[in-house]
Amino acid sequence: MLFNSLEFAVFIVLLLGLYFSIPAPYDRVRKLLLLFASYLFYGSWNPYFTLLLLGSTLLDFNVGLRMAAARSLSRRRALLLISLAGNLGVLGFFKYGGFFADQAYAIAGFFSPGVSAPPSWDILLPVGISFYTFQTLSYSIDVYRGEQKVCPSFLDFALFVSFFPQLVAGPIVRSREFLPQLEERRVVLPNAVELALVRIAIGLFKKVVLADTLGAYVDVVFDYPKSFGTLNILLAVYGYAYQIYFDFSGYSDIAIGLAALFGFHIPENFDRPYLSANPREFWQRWHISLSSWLRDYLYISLGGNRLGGVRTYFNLAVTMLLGGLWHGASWNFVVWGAIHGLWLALHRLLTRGRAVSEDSRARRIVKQFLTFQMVCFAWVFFRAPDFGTAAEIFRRLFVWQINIHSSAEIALVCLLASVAFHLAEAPLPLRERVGRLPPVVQGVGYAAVVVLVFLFSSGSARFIYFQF
Amino acid sequence: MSRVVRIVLWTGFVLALILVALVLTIGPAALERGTKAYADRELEKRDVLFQFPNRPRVYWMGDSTIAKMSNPNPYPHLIEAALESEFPIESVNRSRPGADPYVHYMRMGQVLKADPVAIFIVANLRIMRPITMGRGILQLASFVPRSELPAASLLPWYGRSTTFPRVLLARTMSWSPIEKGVYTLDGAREMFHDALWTSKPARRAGWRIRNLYQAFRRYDTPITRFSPMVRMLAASVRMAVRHGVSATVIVAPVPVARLAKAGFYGPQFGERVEVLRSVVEGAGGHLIDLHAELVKSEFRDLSGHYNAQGAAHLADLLAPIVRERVESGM
Repeated sequence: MLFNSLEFAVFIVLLLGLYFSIPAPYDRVRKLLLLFASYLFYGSWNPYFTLLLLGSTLLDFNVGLRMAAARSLSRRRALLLISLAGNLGVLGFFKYGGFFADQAYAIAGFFSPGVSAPPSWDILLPVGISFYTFQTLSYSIDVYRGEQKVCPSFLDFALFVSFFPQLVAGPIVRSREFLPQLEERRVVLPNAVELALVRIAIGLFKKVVLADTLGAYVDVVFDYPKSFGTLNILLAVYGYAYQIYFDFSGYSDIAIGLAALFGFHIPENFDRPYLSANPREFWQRWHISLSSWLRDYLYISLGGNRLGGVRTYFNLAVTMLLGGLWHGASWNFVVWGAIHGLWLALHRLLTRGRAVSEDSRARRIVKQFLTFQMVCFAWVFFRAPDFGTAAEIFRRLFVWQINIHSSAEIALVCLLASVAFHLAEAPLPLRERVGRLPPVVQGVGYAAVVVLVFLFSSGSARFIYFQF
Repeated sequence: MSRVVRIVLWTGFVLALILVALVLTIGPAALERGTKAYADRELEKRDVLFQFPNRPRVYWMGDSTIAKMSNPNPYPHLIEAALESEFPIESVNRSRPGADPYVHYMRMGQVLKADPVAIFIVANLRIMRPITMGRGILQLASFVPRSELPAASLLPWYGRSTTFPRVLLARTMSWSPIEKGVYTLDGAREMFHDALWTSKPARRAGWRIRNLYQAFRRYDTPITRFSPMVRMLAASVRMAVRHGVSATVIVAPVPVARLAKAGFYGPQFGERVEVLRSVVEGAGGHLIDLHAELVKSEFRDLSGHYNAQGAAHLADLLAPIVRERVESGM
């Protein structure tokens, strides 16, 4: 169920009603209800994939228990390897099986022209597999490292893995952030409910009104770039940057707001990323839960910056390459990751040894502008279905073409509104400002959001990050 | 009163005001618009006045290749005419352009209510890939019989970009006053979208077939028994068979000669038909493979639509089979 669907609205209202009708002392019953609802939510896409979710949960729950009981480091290491193999194996099969098979046959065909490609694997990618797999892996690794005490309750662990607000598109929640919340009784204060509703409303507005409207234009331009001139292409490139940001951050806003309605705190996933002045800052503000996961479990595991200059750059490059590949089984995503890896390495090289000093306002604005251009450049590879389309996009950007499509007006207005919305979130997030407004003003705002979300809905648009 | 309650009340009040304003201003236009969009549904709900109520009824469920609105004389009616003198039947052709196995599944309940003796479902290899348009589902979702709902919960609704809860919700809301409200709101949304995207070419560009490659590519869709369209086809057949009605799937002719010339045709087409055969026969139905039956001169376009010659050819071929199915079903 999509968050912006009527059936989800019915689902959440029923769930909230049932949840709060259970007296607070019966916390175990409440958790069982949430677990059941989470599996129902996930199963609404494809009921059979709940078995995968259950399998991943059982695997890492048992690995955790056995690691806690293990006396030798070698046994703990073996158990960790089982968890890694199991989770990454499933992820590899469903997400990358077809891709690697195609590459293997392409290589074989290069050396033996008679080799023919096999039938397409036609494997359906389970929704959210990249997210919950990383979530359970973080638990196993933290238990192995001794940074997380083992969770003895299967109910708590299963709920940690499957909690529906963040199950299919993050934020990737660490066990040490979530499991302690399950051990204590959660209290939902009226103020928290108010802030949660603001968060959800803002998320819906970002996703349905801004992201989907931009997406309608961006999709056509990226599908048929040859039909559009330079200005249209530029509008689509900038439009995609905001589309993916509002789509993903909107989802995160809704997820965080929904979790808060049940008394759970989920960490922030975005912090006004297009106000970043360099690539390092960008990755501290964009998809924070993934970048911190990659930093803690991949970059640091490879040695981080502890093994000298060359190795540091190598670790950075590998981390970003794999970060790109995490997004999808396509060379486009690998190239996108490589661009960011190279950019980060270059930034590190150029700023190494320099004292950190505060930029002047003008200098910072210039850096922010240039950083945004570089981010948009990389997004072209992320969005384009293939390298040919990406090349055509760049060609039409840098070689002036006259063909201003009249449907660009709405996209342009939406883009300007998007930029204004993003700028309005500095220095204080919009949700905090809205939360202080009088009830009548908030009521008008919510009614406007409901009407706009309904009017702008097309019924078929999905959240971009569901495909990861 | 807590702030949250006051906010909710104010929200409800403002929403009610907006709704009243919408109803007073664009209500009738929105209702008319929305009702048109649900034309299929209205057609299904209308009491069908069968032309020949005493004849054995044969139902045809297909797409634009046999729909009346896209063909001057589709072969289901040619078959009815051919059998008129010796074995009169009534061919009920409710085919619609773009109808796929999901549509057939959802309409099957209504079709079975009409007591057909035999059902023929056209399976077009051109529409075997999952469809991203989810909107059309709600128009027909409420026709899924109650007895089918448990099995329907396991069906691959994602193949039509929807979920079972959405189907269930559509079914739950199938009460006339609610439906009229939904039609009106949907009509208002359609009007808003049209006003928003005043220039159609940008959207149309996404639908226009740019070159032959794209036209042919749609035919070359790998399928397995687990593919969503295949599973829905099997579910449609199973539903009919469970109700004691013979179900025959006809694999529609495709422009083989042109596909072969473009390099898109090969042994994989036969393999895919065999996948359909095993699935359909496993569900208790029959399958007739006509995918390579017609020659180039019997098609009128690349989308697989037949001309008069092609329709006549298929009618000659299928008339005895239709008769045999009807005889065995009576």
